[in-house]
Amino acid sequence: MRRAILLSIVLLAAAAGASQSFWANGPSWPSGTVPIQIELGSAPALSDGCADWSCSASGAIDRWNLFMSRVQLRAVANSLHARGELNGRNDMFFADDMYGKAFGHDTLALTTWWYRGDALVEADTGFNRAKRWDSYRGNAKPGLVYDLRRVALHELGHVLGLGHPEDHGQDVTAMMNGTMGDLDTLTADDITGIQSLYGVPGGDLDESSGGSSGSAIDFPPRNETYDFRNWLETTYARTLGRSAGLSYSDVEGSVVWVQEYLRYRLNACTHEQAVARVRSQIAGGGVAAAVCGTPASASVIAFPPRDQTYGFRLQLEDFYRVDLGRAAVKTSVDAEGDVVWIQEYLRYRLNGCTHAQSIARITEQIEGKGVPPVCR
Amino acid sequence: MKSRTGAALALTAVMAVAAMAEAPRAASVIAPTFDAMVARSRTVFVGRTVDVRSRWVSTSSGPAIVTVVTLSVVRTLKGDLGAQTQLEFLGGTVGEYRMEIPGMPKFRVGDEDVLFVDERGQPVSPVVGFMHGRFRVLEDADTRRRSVARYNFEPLADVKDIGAAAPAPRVSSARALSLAAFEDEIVRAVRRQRQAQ
Repeated sequence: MRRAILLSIVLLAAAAGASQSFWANGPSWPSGTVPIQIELGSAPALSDGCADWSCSASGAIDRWNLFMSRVQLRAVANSLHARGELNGRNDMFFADDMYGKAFGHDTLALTTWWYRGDALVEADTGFNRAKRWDSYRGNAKPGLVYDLRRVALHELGHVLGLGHPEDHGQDVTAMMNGTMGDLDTLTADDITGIQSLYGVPGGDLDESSGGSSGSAIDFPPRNETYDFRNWLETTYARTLGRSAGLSYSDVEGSVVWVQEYLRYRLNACTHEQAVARVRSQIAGGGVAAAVCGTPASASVIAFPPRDQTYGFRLQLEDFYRVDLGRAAVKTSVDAEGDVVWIQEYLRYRLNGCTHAQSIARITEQIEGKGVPPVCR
Repeated sequence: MKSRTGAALALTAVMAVAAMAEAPRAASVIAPTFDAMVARSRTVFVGRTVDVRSRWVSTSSGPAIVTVVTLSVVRTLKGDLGAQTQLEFLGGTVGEYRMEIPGMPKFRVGDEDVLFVDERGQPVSPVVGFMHGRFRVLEDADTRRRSVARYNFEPLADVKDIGAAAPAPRVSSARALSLAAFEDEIVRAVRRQRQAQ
């Protein structure tokens, strides 16, 4: 009878889990920044253009940061710290073993959570040095060479407090499932899960930034801008036939910070004020600063001149290269195309167009059919 | 130009649909096939958990917690075991500290499992395939039929589904492999692999 009850509970839990999808494991991080010490060392030339492992892991960190509000991960690139348990740091490293125990034949990487009472105090991630690693997009190459970036995406989800949906009877498409596969990016389920723990970006800016932070202009969710930017990448590469160049600001960084720059500009900040706020925000691990005032009411929201946004984008490039020490990554969209079309996308979105309508209008512009009007 | 853009958009849409239809798998552990699981196991047995204890250990990287699971051996299907055996896993709870590894098998007293074990090299998890080599034994309350489920209680219909490239369709526990049939498959695979050596 006890077995029957247990089985019923398990099946009920599985059924409930299927509708709930993601799995949050337990206590999560308090609001603020969570530094990740990237101790992965040097790398050979990587397939996605990254010059070292820090670049690949930082890309995964940036991806998660796109979708969170009250917590941001902060990459400490090429950290020289030595790994250790219960040392108060979140270490990410290659190793032959995980704290004296072998990874085993089938394990690519592991994250250990440390809790003290009800508080998550540390999370360390080890990658199995016995496997061959690279950094690439597309289908996985199991048994040959493993993609550090997607495994880092998965392990960082653990660092943030997400578990494996499949361990709890759920049948969803998610980076957070524990078994190796072809997914190379976060899915809607992963994003819903992380936002259940840390909120939606922009959803609580008014509370966090204080002062005259009240932003009267609402921006679209970053993941939609990010989708647009991915569409732009495909269009440049396949439709326009542009070859890949190098950029120090990766796609995630460009989407997040160009959008943040424009949010400040549209909320009464000058170019200089907006640049200073974004730099401070990047250095501070993503915590938003106060905007500069309330925008004048207008039927159509006016954007700053493109040359100013482009100027910001060039400074962003320098900031990523010099201050953050990031390696260059490949992209088919040059810096000018990057800001021109992100700004156009946001101009349409903020003036009544949906995601699809905005992409359709930009397609017309790219095809040389003039500049379609906004949607109101 | 328009048709090329349309083609690009269509391709993007197809890729998006393909991604959504993809197997719900992501990262960090490779699921071994049944034959690989049998081959890599030093022992395979049906066991019942009788004790679970966690303790601090000192490692070269600092303190860690391990959990020792003591199992009563019901039947041995590969290798040699006595009446009881112990397995050591990384992680556990001692006092106010909890060290946890996502996906690590957790055992409770009374659990009955078929376990594929390779403890050589003192791995973080001695279960082959990290968690994949643990199969739960379930019993139907009405029919008393004993069947086998994966580590996450998903009923197992066929050993060919273990480590398959595409996830197998889910089945009810009534259609799951019986414990006896699963044991037969293991014994046959052990014999087959021994003859091939």
